[in-house]
Amino acid sequence: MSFTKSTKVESLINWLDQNTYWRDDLIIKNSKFGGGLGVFINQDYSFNEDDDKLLLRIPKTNLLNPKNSFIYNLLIEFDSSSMSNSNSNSNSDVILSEGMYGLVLTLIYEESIQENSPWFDYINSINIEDTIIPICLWDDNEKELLKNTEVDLLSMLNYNELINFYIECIKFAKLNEKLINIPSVLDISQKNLNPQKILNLYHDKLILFGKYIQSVVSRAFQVDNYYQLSLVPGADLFNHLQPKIEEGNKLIPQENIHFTCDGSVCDECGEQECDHEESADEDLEEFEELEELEELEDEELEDESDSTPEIEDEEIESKEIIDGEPEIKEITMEYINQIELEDLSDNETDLDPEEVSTLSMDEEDQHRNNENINIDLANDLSDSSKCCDVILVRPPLEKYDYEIFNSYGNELNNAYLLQKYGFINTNENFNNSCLLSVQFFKQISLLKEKLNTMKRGELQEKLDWLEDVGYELIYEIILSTHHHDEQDGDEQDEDEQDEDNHQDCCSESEYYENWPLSIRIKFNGEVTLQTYAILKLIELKYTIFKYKLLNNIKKLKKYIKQILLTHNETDLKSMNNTVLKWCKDKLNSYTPIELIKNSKNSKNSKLIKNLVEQEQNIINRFIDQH
Amino acid sequence: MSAIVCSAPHCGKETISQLKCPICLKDGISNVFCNQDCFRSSWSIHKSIHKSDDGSTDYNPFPNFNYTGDLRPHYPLSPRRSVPKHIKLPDYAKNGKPISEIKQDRLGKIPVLTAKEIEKVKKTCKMAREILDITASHIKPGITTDEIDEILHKECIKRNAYPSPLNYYNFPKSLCTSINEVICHGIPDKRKLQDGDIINLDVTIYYLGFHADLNETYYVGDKAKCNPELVNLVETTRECLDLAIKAVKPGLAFRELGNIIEKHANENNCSVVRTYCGHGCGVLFHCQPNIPHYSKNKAIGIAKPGQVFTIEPMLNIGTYKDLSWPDKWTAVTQDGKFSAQFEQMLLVTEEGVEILTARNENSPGGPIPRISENGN
Repeated sequence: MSFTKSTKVESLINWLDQNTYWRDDLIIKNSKFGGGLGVFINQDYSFNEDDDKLLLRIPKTNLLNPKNSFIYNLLIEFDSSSMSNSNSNSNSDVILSEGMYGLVLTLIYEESIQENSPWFDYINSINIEDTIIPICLWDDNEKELLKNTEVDLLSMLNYNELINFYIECIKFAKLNEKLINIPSVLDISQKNLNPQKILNLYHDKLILFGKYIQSVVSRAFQVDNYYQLSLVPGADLFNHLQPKIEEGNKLIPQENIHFTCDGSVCDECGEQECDHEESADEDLEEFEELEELEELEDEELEDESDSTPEIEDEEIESKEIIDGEPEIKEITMEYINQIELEDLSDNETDLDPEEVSTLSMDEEDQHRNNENINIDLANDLSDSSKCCDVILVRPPLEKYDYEIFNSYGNELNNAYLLQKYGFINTNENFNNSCLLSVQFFKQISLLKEKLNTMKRGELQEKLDWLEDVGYELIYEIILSTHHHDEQDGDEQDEDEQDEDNHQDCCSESEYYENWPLSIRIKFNGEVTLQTYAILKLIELKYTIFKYKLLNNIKKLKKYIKQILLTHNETDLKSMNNTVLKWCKDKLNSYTPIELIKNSKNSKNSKLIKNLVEQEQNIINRFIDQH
Repeated sequence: MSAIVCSAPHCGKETISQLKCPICLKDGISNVFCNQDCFRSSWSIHKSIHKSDDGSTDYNPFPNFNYTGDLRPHYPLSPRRSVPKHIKLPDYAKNGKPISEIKQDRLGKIPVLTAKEIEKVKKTCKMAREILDITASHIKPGITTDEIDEILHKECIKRNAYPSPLNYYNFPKSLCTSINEVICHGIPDKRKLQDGDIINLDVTIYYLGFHADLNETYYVGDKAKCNPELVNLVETTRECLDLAIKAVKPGLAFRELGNIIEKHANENNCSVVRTYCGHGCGVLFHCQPNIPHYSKNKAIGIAKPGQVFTIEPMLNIGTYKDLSWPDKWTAVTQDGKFSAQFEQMLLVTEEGVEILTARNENSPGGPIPRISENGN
């Protein structure tokens, strides 16, 4: 990871030894490929097939996250009080105890107490001061160079969310000032803060705060539904290696490791087996029983004439309830003797494994001589379900000096890579695509100007239908008709689909959370099927729209398929012409490459140039094809 | 006639069943079970009140167990003591399952009490101290821990308080009595106290809707007070608790307490038990925060006014490691060397801390000076 201090490696490894299993032939040193430190393995390392490929295992209780932190009770109290004071001008959508917000605040506070934090050596190895700043805090000149790129269109250059979060953190710090000293990055005494004041008066602190965020966003892992986003010491040391793209737009992952952990735990307590879910089940059972009872009563009412006494059935049932054992009328000494025998044999089988494990612990004891921590750690590490693992999946290669790489996301496009990690794929990024909704809306508003009131209303009806009903169904149909392996498309499991998404041409059916975001050109230069469907809808005769789509419920899917997703050559040609016009408009909307190249104010001009060029290549691919 | 309640401690329901334990019947006692299931699943607990097969009224129920020290359980246990109907029960009293605790567990919220609640919990704590002191005043060679349990139980009932340990996760008695190598959770039985023992009485009562939890270790007879190693253990433990309490104030990170305790323990050649921790206490018997007593722990949370919790360090002469007896409660040291414990229940105040279960002038026990090894 580029922002790890090389001078602190020794104490970091020491921390890892005390708090994790860290394969001891791993080497942390400068990397030619990651631009900072990286993790390497000795050239003559060996992994037998039978060997386990574990490089790092860390108990979840040793992760740095809000739920493990000394400030957790304060975070929760802050959230519940800001939820109850909804009249105050606080940002109630900022939940400080969870997710990225909670983790940033946890990092800031654990850092502020220095050696008193159990994560001191880890935190100390993170170079926060020299971390890059989030793109939304780049200066205006640089943001201008990014205009109309995906980064801009997806609102990643907007700093409002970040500053609102900052203001909440400052409030939190002030509220708890009596309990904990305010960390310097949050120490702003002025009252009634607003984004403008922060930008103007506290710009340096804001930038520093941004660096804390970036440190977290670029390092954190999603762990499970209890601990959620966490900093995983050790796992964040590995550099990123981008995937390869082969002929046929196949994406070939290159990373050497995978981060894994059991994510299916109780939301409430993080355990795999606990009473929380059970009690929820019980509630459900009770509810079901109640329903059954009601049904029964109903039946009884209906079958009043039925003379079969139901009580008899119930008696028979209750006799059979006890699992397998014959019902007894009296507890006899024979029965007790039988229980005793059973318990005796149970105890024997129960005891054996325990005895074995205490034996082996004692042996370990003699070696380590009173090092309590190590024995506790050994215990924690022995239960893999309560740990996170880093596992080797591909052998490290000589051409990379045997550096071990992770992938920070083979499915991420350049915009997200830039936002999270501050870099983009320097080769073309297969996950990129190019949004054309600005051009679409431009055309719609031009169209609306030309139309009379009635026609304008009709157009709006179409868009409303798309928003409320149409888009979801269009997506569903595209998803179900686009497969290669499954025979029966209708039974498609969405989760499965998500996983396969990034691997090959399945990205065809990529999900966009709303219809404007689906109007785009994909990496290969093709327009999304959603774009065609939306264009078709706009052009559609109103009467057909009204009777076959708007007022139709039964055969809606069929008609959508027929009308919006089936196109003849003339349709296609006309629609492609429209898109062609958008493409030209879009190309002109970027900052000209020459200007970016010559921009003297920007440290990032090279990166921005590359980013814009990759987007333009996509658009040009469409233009060349038509 | 009052309704008959199933004798299975995890059931607690009223029953009209006629299924009775034949062994109890022989002794003229009627213990009824709802059904075979209740009898079968509570057998291992229920049988502890039976005489041994040869009719002995003082026997070791786990003759094959590899005991780590000299102490043995002395069965049969006395039957479960009853609690009059008018006393308010905690939710687990009927079936042993503290549902409200289980639901609260690990939600991360540390209760902050209101002024009214603080008034109540203070009363409960004062009463718990009174009951502990009365009970402890009976400690002398010859008395059994079961007799101590009976005294405590009666003192609770007299004051309309429920003895919290009773049936908590089916614990069979009304307090924990931990002798010598027992670290904690010892079950009162027919064991007679001997000159030279140390015994910890861990008392919790439920009164006015609040639990109050405290414990102290006492020397039995003069022999114990003359054993330098033992005095060092007991007094070091007492001091560890006092030192930890002194550190409590708003803003204290709970994980700091273990550093203070283990440092003082190590300086006095004692080890700190890692398995059992201090805890939040109040409406629930056990809740957040969790207070480990060993150093470099990762306890969650920070102290603020209105929180109520216990600190209860357990120190050992030898290894810190613990082991459970087959009764699944009694925790003993793995090397059989002695263990001591002290506990107070604390309220974080604006200025610092208030010891809600503090000793009075007349409280039995209390610190004694250390004796140097050469007998001065």
